[in-house]
Amino acid sequence: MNFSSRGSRSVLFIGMLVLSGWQVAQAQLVTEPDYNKLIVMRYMEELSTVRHSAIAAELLSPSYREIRSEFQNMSFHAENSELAELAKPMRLAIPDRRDVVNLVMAEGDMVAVRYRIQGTHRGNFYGIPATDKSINIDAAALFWLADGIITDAWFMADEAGFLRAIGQPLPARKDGKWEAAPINLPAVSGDEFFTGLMSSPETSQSFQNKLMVNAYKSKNPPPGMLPETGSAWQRIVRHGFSHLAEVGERLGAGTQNTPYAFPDRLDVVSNMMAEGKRVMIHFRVTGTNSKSLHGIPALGRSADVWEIAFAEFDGATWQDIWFFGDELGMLLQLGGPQDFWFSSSADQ
Amino acid sequence: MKINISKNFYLTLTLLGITSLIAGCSDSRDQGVAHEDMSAVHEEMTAAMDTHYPVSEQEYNKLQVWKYMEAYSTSEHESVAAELQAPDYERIRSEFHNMRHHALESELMDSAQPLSTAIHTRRDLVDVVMAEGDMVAVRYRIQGVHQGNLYGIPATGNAIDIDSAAIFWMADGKITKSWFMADEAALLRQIDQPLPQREDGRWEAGPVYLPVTTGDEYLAGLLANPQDSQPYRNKLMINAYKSENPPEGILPPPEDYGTGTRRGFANITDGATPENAAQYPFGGAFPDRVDMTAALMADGKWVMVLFRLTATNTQSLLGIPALGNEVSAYEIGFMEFDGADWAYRWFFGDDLGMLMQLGGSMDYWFPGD
Repeated sequence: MNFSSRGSRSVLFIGMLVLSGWQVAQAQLVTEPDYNKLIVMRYMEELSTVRHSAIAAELLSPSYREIRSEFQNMSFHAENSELAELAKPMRLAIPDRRDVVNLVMAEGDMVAVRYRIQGTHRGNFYGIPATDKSINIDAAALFWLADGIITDAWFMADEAGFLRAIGQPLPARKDGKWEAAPINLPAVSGDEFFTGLMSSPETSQSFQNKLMVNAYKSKNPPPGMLPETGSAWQRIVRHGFSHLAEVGERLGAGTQNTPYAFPDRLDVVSNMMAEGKRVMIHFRVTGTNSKSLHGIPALGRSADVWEIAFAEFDGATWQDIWFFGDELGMLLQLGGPQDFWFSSSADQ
Repeated sequence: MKINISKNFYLTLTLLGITSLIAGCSDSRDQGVAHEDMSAVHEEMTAAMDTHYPVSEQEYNKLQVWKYMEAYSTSEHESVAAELQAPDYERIRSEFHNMRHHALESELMDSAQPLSTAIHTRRDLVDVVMAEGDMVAVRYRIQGVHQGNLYGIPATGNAIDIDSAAIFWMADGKITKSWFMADEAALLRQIDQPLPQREDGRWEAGPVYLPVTTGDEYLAGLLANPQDSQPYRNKLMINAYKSENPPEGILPPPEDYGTGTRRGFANITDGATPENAAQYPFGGAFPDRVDMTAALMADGKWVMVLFRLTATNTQSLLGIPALGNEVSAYEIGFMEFDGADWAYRWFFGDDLGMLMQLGGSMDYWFPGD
């Protein structure tokens, strides 16, 4: 059929309109963030089921890129070593794994998820033989979508929480290499991110909340945006480096927190989003480790560690904040002992 | 609102397109104008399609309920409710149904403060949202601090963290009906307070609504409309589990029923002494027990079943003396499948309603007091 003539194009276009009208009568239209949220929810529902491959084939772009995996440090540490040869696939290492999704939010082409990984360590996990211990750890993920399919994803599971739950340190490689997983994704200072946000101001409460969280991560927040004294939020639900702090507390090094250990600490922001009552900020803690961090001796190394936070507002009131940092990555970058979590002095 | 605008927009486009075609055919001099209009319409339509995506009714309902639940315990609840609830919206059951019913028209209600005051800094953690047909089911946890009078119970300052579930019925993208159930028994246990006595001495569980059928009848209905999908087969399995006479081949052996992550009447069971648990087990209290199904739905790996445990209490339940009372207590289950395997089961029953219906002592959970 020749559609080059004006008349033919009209007929085709009218047909398209009629068809669209009919289709709309059958379906509802939603915004891109809402659509993306549904896609990601569906993906997460089957992340650890037998249907994962089928769902992945349907929802992941052919050029899909996993920027970071859930157990990135453990995976990277095992890579090209005897540890990787011993490792079993996830479905055998944690056969009863289930993911409990606690939060899904979206803005623009991005979707953020907070979830918990539950299960039992029944098979070799990146070189660690089965312990039959139960795990129940925090995890977070970011997804980027285009045309309704997932193009990129960033994951982070609480590897330190996993190791503590199974009572095992990260095993040594035969070649003696200890290296945290590399960092990708660009980031800018909180001040620069703030300038970027202010260049496209919005009147919504969500935007105002996003500004407030960004200001908290800025060196030079605009006056009046954060309270002069005390916390900007009413409640902290989870600390970013909670395992390190907990062990440090038991070691009598509870006050050796990140501002103490990294006097030049600078947080650089990679992503932010706001939706409804929630704000997500994805950033990296950078600094030089010139003083002990919760009992880990300072070796003067540079640290650059992922952290993600979810803030919850009621209107303009910042109610609570949940932080989650890459603690295993931090320990590896600092060159700390891998039995830090289980050191005898910590158990006293 | 969005749906109607969108529908009208496309209907207008369709009519405009047809009108333009007729105009174009009848008078060639107007053809250029018609094409200009068409181009503008086409551009507008393309722009709309760029920013909006078509989804099924179930997915749309899920998003609406999600939005509703996100704002549920915030200061924006009223405005979101005004937007998402249908004008004839009806709440079939409230979260604290028994406590509220018990306090109604009594001095307890006079002293009660609004829920937002009674449970300060309340937040709701939603972990399951599923939809089928016109229904949406939600599982969530209520967290907060008991800082005000809650249906006659003065503030204790205790933190609460309790299970909850809700079902919503939708029409045209709006919520027409809802059913809620919070774990009132767990709340009482966490604040360490029994349900207070009314001055008039009345003890009455919240009334039970919603029509129900036996599991067998429900299964017959499902089998009458077979579908070739895994969620449907999963739903059949759970329905068979709740049937008196399940057809052969649908249910797996009991050892494959999935790992239990919560028992239905967990508070009553947990509250029993080891001796009573051994001597008066749950199963022995209701020899004529029949579970009546109110709703059943499947979505992806999830199956939800809402039913009522109905029976005559002829034997002691975990030490609670049998008074021969009739019981009809709600229970909701969320099942998780891994493909065709029943992986997890989570049941949540109305423990406080059950205890009230049995005529048990409200000190059941506080034996030392």
